[in-house]
Amino acid sequence: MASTQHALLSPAELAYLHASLSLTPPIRPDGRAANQFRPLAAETGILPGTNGSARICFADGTEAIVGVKAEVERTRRGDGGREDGVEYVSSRLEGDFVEGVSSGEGAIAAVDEADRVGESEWVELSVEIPGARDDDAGTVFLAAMLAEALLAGGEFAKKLWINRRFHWKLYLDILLISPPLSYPLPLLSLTTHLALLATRLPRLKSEGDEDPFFDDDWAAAPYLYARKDGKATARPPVSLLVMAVGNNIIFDPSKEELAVADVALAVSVGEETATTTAAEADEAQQQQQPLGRNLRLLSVRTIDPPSRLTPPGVPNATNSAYGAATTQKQPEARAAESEAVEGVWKAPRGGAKALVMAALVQKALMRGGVADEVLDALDAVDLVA
Amino acid sequence: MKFPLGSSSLNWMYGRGRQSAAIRNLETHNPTSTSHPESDSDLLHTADSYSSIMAIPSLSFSRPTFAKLSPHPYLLTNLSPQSPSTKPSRTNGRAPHEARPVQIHTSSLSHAHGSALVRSGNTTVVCGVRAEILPVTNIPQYRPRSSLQPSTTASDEAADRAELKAYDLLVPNIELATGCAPQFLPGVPPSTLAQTLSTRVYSLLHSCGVVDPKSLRIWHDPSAEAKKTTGEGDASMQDDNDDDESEAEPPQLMAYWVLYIDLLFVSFDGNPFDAAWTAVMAALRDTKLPEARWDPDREMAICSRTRKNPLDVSRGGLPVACTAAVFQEKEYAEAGGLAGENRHWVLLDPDRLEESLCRETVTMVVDCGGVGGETRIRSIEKQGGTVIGRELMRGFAGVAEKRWREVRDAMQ
Amino acid sequence: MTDRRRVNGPVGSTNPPVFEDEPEQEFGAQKGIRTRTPTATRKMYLKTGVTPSASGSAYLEIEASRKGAVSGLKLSCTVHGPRSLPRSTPFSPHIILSTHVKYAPFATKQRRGYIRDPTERDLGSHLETALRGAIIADRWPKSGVDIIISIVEGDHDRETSKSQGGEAWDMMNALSGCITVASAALADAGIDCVDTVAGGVAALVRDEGDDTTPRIVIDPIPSEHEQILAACCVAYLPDRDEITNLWFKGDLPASDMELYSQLVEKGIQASRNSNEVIVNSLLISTREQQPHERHDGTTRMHIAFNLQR
Repeated sequence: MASTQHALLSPAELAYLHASLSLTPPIRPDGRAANQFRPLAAETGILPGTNGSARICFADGTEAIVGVKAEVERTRRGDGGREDGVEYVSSRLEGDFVEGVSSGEGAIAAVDEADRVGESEWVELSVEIPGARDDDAGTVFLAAMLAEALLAGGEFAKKLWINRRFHWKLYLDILLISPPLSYPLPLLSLTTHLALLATRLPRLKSEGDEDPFFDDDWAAAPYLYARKDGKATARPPVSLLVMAVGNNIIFDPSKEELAVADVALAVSVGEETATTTAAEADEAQQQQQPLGRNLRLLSVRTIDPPSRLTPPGVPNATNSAYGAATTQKQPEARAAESEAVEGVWKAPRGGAKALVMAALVQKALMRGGVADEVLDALDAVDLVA
Repeated sequence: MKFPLGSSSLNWMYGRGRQSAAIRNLETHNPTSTSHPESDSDLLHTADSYSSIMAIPSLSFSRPTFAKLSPHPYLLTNLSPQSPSTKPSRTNGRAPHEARPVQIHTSSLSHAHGSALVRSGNTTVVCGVRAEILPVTNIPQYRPRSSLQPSTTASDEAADRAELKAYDLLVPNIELATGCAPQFLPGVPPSTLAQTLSTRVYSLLHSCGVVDPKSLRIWHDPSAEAKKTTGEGDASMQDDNDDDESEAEPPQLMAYWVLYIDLLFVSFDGNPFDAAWTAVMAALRDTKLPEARWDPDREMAICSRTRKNPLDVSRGGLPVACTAAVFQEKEYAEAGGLAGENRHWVLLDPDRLEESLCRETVTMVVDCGGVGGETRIRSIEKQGGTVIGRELMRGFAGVAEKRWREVRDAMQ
Repeated sequence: MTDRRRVNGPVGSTNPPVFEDEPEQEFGAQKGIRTRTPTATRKMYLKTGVTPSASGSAYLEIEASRKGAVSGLKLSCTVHGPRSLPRSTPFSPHIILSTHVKYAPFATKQRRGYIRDPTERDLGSHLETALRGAIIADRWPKSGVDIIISIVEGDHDRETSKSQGGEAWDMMNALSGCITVASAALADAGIDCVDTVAGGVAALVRDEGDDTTPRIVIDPIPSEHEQILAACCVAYLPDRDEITNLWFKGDLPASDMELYSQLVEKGIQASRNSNEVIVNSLLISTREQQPHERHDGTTRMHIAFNLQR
């Protein structure tokens, strides 16, 4: 798996790294604070042939570009897989607004926002990592993770609805253009986020269920993520990589840091249009607090930490070079195998406590936490479509 | 699994150099092995050729170890017992002409239109039949059929078969790479064995005419359709059918059902073809296709959720495959050597170990369910070797008949 | 490009049958409503040793909730190894795990292809993460083990439409089953693990009816609920009280961490239930294996032998 590519570190180096990351506060090899992201350079609108594109370059030299292309596609219903919904299609074409067959009940309603149904097939996401096949488990895992966050809740697919007969088909091509120096999830996720923010779809001029035609004035094209006063209200998701070492929680780990992780999680966070009630707003004002973002937890996945595949160190007590008896397998040898020796690296075994995992997620999500920070930072990027 | 030394152990004298490397390795595992008693009859006639026999400690192995280390002599010893009182038997405890009992469960899968699980000893195979609709407009070289008339003449029947084959309406595929045995690991394209098996099932399905193409056709009857719109019930429509036929448009064939027959080996212990074929037959007999009508407005076939018709497989009878392998005394007998010098055994329903040791196999597909219980041979396949001749084949038909009855009983 | 190594069937494309929605009312009546308590898992049947030629194997079946409508999950798992790696592989201080999950072509509502699709690969990598935490990998340097799961029948509802996103949630149930069956097969193969890992699923669901508050159920069946808001699948080691794999998916307000923690807690509870099934099944199989002759079945063990050709 790509996430478990070996960091070529010796057991001694691993032990040292693990020890320094376990200190309070942790000492990271590149001097960052525990919740600090790598510095990055970002730009959008780099590919004129796309509906939206972005490029991000991390300070460690990894770089990714994302292009979003949209095509109009006829909505296929009633054939090719759906066993039901046939009557539904015909009645709709005849102009009966019979709704809700999918839930098994009929109800008469006009088409409004709530009626829009998106399907996950409308988004096609492909990830390309140099040196990895596209059916490599790691690449598939990355693509599945990014798609899962994007499609969670079904809100995103709804944005692609044109009318009852047509929808946008969105192609997201996510390319890592540098060698994968570190686990590329945060980079790819942030780049995708920016590209989607910058994505604009041509303005629809047709009405109702007729064949759609669009305004060719690009300047009039609305953003996929609606904007108010130049700021997007809802935002595409971002996936953050979090890991735990000892008692510390570390964000955006580099490859070397990931190699000593006890547990690593990918946490995907989305932001929704703030639907705060007046009472809540009042309360916030009273407490002199700015209204926080309306963050949503969309997905959590355990990343197989490469630390499990690191070579173990040999304690002096059993090292023949230091005078340990080199007899054949003693019965105690097995028992000693599981005992940890201070300062000697041993690959972690077993899993992580539920509480530790919850703390990782909590730390990412809390108000003023890392997710907030990252989204703020991305807000500062000028959007050029 | 280790057997106690002495009575139940297999004592293996240290013999040829070919195996010596393996044996030396094993010696360290068996430091306590005792030397072989001299009174043993087996030892006597070989003792002179190994003068220093007593100096070499003998070894004892558990049966599985023995089978793994030198399978051919192991099976041979089992088949040719020293004392005449014991009957020859195979390593799996069966007599040479004894097949493993067959168990069949049908309708266990809910997403398939027909399914069967067949277990024969340690060979387990699951078969699922999945029907999909192929509109005739999707067939590149489609020749329309003119009439609805039932095909009674022989030429019609031949045409039916040609139709089944020309449009490829039966799609059997066998998946062996499921880890069902150590040599079948997934992630690789279908092995030669899997391809051979699929092709054999495919050709047997066609040559036996198992599936009646009539039950795979989806018709469009404009006259019936017209009547339906005028509000007449189904029953009356069928009564009136004869009267209206002259004036109404003739029914048209609009689509076919395609049967995807997929076989998945859960466990593999030899004789895959018999198990696979039994599973295919059981699954096809279990298959029920939903009633379909052609909707001209939508240009697609619409199926009924409630009404289902069993697939017609009666015409092909019940062909049952029966496979045997020929085990020869000399592992590498020269080609052209007289068969008489080389003892052989015909092992019915071979398991994995036996299959690996036999080069000659024969498969006979018989059907004893015909009129008057007459046995009909539907197919004979023989590969490799020269042992089985006319006489043996004749005798084998009797064995196959017995097997047919066993399988038929299991199916019912 | 057609695959010449398989029987491909007709050149033209075929369509799965399309049903008319006539039995509307019957359909509505059939629509499942969860009858189990929120904390009850469906019945499970687990048996080890179904594939004798493999180092270890297990078969798991989860009972179907309603006759004819929802199929139960049926999984077969084989473990091959530990065995030595090919010479070309670089040195590994640990056992190399390779997981392979494949749906049978007839396992789901739609016919599956023969080549693994991204869903199956994704399931494979989740499974790998779940098992790697449980296996004591450093006991077998330079070796590999293959874990192969065939999903003979998926946990799919036949009637629910895709718009409900049922398939995505079904994947969680499939993964949980995969983890449980693989754990049993690993134990059957005698591969050392820190603990028997087992999978469990919990979901935050909203039931039919107006404005019911969402509740958490374990071992959810998507068709039994109006909407699934979030679900999580955990692979849990009960003795160590540790999670080796956690997969959460859904849409939860970030401010309500309590809800998330409860969901994981229920997932652990579901996993404990599965674990009991594993332990029972292993106990039964070890008891069965007591007499040595079990695999043999023969009485003639009195065979003297010499190498004579």
